[in-house]
Amino acid sequence: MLLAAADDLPIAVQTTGHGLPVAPHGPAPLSGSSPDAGAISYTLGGGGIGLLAELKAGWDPRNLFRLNPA
Amino acid sequence: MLWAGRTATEIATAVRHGDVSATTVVEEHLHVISERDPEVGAFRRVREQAVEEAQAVQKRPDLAELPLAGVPVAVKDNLEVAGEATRGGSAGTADVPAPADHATVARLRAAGAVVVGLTNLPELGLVAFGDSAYGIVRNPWDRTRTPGGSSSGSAAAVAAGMVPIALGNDGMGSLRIPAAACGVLAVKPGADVVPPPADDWNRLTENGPLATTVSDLALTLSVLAADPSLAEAWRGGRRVDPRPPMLRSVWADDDEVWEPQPPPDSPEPFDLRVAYAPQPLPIGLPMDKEFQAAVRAAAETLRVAGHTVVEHGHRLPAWLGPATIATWLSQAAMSAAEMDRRTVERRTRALARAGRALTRMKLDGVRGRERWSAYGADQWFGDADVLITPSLGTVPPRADRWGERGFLRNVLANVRFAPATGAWNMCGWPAITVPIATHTSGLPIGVQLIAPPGGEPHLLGLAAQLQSAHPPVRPRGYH
Repeated sequence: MLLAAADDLPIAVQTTGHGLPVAPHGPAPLSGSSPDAGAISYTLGGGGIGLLAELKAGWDPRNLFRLNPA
Repeated sequence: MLWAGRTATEIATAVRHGDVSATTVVEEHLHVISERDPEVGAFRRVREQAVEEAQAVQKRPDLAELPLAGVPVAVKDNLEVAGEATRGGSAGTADVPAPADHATVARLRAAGAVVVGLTNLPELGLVAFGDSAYGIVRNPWDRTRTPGGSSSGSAAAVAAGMVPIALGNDGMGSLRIPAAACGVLAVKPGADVVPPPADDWNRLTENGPLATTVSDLALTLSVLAADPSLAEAWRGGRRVDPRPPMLRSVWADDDEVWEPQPPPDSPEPFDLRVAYAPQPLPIGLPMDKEFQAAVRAAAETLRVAGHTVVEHGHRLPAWLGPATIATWLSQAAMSAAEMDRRTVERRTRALARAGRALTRMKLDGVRGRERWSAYGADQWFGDADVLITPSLGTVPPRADRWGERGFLRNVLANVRFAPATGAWNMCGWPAITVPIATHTSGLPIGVQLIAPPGGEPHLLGLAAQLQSAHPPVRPRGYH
């Protein structure tokens, strides 16, 4: 039951303390998606793995999974 | 100055230098336990005689050389502590004092640690919850939820700042599960690194430490393993022989005195091949999406730190899940075999009954374990030095009387909550859990790092880099 709840949770990642490139002005448009979707890029540089978390409409910035801040 | 909440490394350094006495440190921790444990329930027994034992440590002629000088430690109540009964979370075990310390407890004491109490666990350590005949252990992050298990009290005591380090053991994840659920670190060593418990579940179970920092974890592991080269392994992901040798008074016979290096600002860079598997579970077993995101984040942090990072796209083989469950149940049957069934909990009876039935049908998981251990794990793992996966499958279930519930509810809840750890007991590989994030539920998220045999230094080194980027957070109210 917990899983069903978790499946609905939006996921995003905040700064890691590494100075990684994080979208500077909040969620950036996710190309090819509907206008109400957004994304935070965990990292986009250096051919890295990247984490592109799709955020649903009505996303609340307080409702984030947080990496422990450095 | 208050010493509760400080790290073992800080405490031992201060005691060695005479900045504080072992007695003061232990008295302060006993005080904090008396304040906090009524609401957490981590301890089955708190040892008032720890004060006298701290006084004895303070008088040791080798005090200035002890790696864990005056450090309070909690011991899981299934490891023998001389003079204390070992109850294993059961009302059905004998209330008879152990004649001698288990080897791991003896090593901690030889290194200057003081046993302040024995921590609660589910009956015979059979499940990943924290309730027993001695009460319900609660998660310091959310006391309505379980701290996980079976090293439940050990993890909760460390998370709540009642001790800086604790001792537990792990036969299917029993160190890593509660550590991840409580936001602390734990390492299950590989085979033949640390002396195992007397009932080691046919070599599935290893003893190991829990701590809040990687340096504390490495130091305690080095003491448990009687291997000084592990104490500083977190700095660069490799064994380092301390010069002059550490633990002279305990294991060496020279006259040099060991002094720890001052902690550097950050661990040294090193380069490994790191794979990550956000969803490693066999088809049909779900994985919390935030846990998956944390694995990706950990991989990215390690990539930035200079490692070669690759995604591991394969899920664990479908046959391994049933083999792991069958192994768990048949071992439960063996652990319960010598108990009077009238004195054990409903769940223990049910798990043992299922285990006996599976064993009779020769469905005891032995062949699956042999296959996984001999070549399956190696083939599946590939050529990485270390693999990152989630430590748990879901956030912890409610803290409740799971022991009074039946077979199906317990097995389903266990498999759902803690499906990611047992595979590495089945092959005896070392694994560590590191807290790096906070779930939207407010509970901590741990990631699991796994290495082939001998990889403990790699795990400690990567854990230190993760912790440097994502420092530990304490639960509210337990600073």
